[in-house]
Amino acid sequence: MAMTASGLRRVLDRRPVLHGVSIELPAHAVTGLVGPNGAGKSTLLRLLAGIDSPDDGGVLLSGKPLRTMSPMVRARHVAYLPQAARAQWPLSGRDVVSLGRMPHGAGFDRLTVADVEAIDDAMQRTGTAAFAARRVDHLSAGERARLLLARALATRADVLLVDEPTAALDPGYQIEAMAALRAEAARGVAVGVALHDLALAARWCDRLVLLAAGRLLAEGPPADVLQPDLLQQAYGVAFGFVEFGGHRLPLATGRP
Amino acid sequence: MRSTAERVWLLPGVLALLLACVSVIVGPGGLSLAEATADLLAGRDTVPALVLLEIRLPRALLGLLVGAALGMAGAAMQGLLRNPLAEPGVLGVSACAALGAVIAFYSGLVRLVPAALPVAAITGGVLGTAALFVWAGRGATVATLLLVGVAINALAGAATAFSLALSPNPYAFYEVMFWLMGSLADRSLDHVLLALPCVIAGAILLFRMRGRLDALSLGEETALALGVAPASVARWVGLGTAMAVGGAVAVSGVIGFVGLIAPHAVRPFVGYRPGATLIASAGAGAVLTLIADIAVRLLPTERELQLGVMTAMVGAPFLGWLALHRRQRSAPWL
Amino acid sequence: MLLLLAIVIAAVWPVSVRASEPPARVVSLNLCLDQLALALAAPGQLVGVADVTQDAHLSARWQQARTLPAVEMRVEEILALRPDLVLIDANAPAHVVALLRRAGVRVASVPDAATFEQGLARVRAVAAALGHAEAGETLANDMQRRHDEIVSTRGSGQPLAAVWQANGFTVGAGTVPDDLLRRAGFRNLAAERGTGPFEPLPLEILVRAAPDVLILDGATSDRPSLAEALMTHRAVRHAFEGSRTLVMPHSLWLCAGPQNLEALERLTAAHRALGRGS
Repeated sequence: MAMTASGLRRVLDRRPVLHGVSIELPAHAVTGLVGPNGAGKSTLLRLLAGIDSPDDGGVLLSGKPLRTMSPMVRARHVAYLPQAARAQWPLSGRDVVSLGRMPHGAGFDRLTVADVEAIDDAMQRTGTAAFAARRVDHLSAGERARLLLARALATRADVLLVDEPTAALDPGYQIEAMAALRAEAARGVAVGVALHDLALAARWCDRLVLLAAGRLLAEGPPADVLQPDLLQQAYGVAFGFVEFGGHRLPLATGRP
Repeated sequence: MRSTAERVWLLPGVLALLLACVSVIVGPGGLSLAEATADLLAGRDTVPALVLLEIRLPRALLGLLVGAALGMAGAAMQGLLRNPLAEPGVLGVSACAALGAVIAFYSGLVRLVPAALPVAAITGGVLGTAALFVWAGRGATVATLLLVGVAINALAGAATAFSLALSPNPYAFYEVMFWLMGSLADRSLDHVLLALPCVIAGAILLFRMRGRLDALSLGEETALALGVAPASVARWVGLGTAMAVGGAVAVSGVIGFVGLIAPHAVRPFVGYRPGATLIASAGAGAVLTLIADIAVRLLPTERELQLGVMTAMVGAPFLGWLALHRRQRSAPWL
Repeated sequence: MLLLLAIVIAAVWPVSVRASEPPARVVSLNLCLDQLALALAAPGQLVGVADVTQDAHLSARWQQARTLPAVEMRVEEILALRPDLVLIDANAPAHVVALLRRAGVRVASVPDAATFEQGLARVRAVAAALGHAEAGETLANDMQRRHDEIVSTRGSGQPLAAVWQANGFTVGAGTVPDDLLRRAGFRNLAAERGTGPFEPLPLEILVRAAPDVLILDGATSDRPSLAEALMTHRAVRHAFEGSRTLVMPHSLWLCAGPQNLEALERLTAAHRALGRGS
């Protein structure tokens, strides 16, 4: 199930944050959202997830407007992992993941066989099975981040939107998290992920969307989007490139 | 997928029922329970039967009812606000309910329409909750919420004393004690009947919110992503809290800190799940209230201590302990 | 010259009244003393009474009291009335008394009265302070005579009575109501239980003691209070549906004084009625 957004405009606190952005999140692919701080990546993700409404434009999920869906139905189709997500109570690892089944009508004490299977699977794929019985406050920040990703995976949605999943993670876990997203895409899910790290974006994403100041600068395969002139226009610094494993990884080199 | 461990939330309820029986036994002494029960069952209108039915039983039932309402409301507010110090008594919701009840009672309205008492208390509770949510905001820090709550509490308390001072009845002014430091002494079955529907309706509302409170445990953004709108949860929880607390306060006055202590007492046993805490906390609230109400009758004080005084003597130090441990262990749920 | 000095001193210094001479301006500061003073003072002699004495629920002479200024226990307010005698009870705040004395006002402290007899002594004491000792003697003798008449008409037996006030309070031994109850031939439930002068009586105890007569101690206001709502508790209504209840206005027996005779009359009437009933 692909997701398309057209002409998304959003004004927050009388400040325009997005100026008519149109993008596509195809199924079977990881689409990376890149751009400098304040480019509008998080706002765009929230609009795509349907937890915020655009002032103009709309989001379609396989041709159906997202806003016509009830919140529960929408939540079954679109999973979203916000950046600031944080367990407010010292729940067990397994309870955190099982929250992902809530859109399917599950509760902590009401889990169907399908729910249990989805939870086990999500924990397996994020390497968090060992945390099932542990309290989240006894885990490290990286372990907690993986558990929250498992929560989003457990929903088994058609679209998975993740905001900066690697920010708190060690390099090893960053790779693990990106691999988990790729695996989701391989199952047919349309994955959208906001990333700060351009090298990570170049290596792990099928497509990239480059945003700057609330506008779409480029959209397409990483090799097409990560061009020196586009990057300099977006970030205001010059970029060089290093070749690694068949990818051209951008590196900021300094002010032009 | 149910196990005995998941039934643990029923335990406080069972304990509360046992304590209610103890509460019936405790009294100024000399009542033969066997005789009273026999008379009651045989339909004989004797003095022991009367004491059992009209004095002891209402007190025990109100202990259960009021305690459960306060325990559940405290757990719901803590779950909604993800704030461990939230509680209807501390944050002034109970005081606003008391103000509503006081206005309805001393104006003489309750003489014409008895149901006006809980209705006015609920209205006061709704206004208090709304003021709290609007003033502090749902995402308020612990400190902000507490400050706003203290302000609302003080305002409602002062307005209550003021309304009582306006009454031409010479006793009215001295009854500020009952309304701000509640009691279950000498209540009747009429009071039980007034409170019961409100508390049950409020409890049903809150119970239906348990899954949504669980969904809030990763924050409002995640709740939204899970298809739960925090604003609507806040409205329903606010209404449910006001109904349960309003029903309770209308017949017992403000009994503070029960809603603060009860959720903390049960949370570790239900895996800190907000929904399960709700149910277990209702039982724990009843347990706490009944223990305190039995204690005030057994303590060798000159006059029977107000129940609200008793709960405050235990609850206020607990609040201090919570504040200390939050800081020392940086545990936001304490 | 000496005469001039004397005039100056007299103008500045409050006039010191000799005890034999009746004081011209008297302020009374106690509900019970006020009522006696109102009964005994010469017209215009009393210039101020306590504000509670104007309350119809507490005072038997509230109408008369309302013709005078109400005074609260505040020195400035009292001195503004330029009294040469202030009547107080033994419980008056010591600092107020001391300040009044420093201002040169004579203060007469009258001992408490918790029985009818002590009430008679109080009548005499107040009358003496006002300079009308013979009027006090007459009133006291009259009260004694009426008392003896009333008591002689009471029935036989010693039925149990319980006094039930707002807030579940009762009156025990060492109070005027207790004294009057015994004079009318009743036993007082609270006194038998050893309850203090004014203490709450648990509702349960009251219901189980099943007294022969329940004395409801006066409705105080037409506006509601929880205190009075308790008097209509279902258990009270049930328990005393059939038995005799008597409403006693607070003002008749809160203080010792001539108004006690009416209270005594009502009590002996109830006592006689019980005797006939059994």
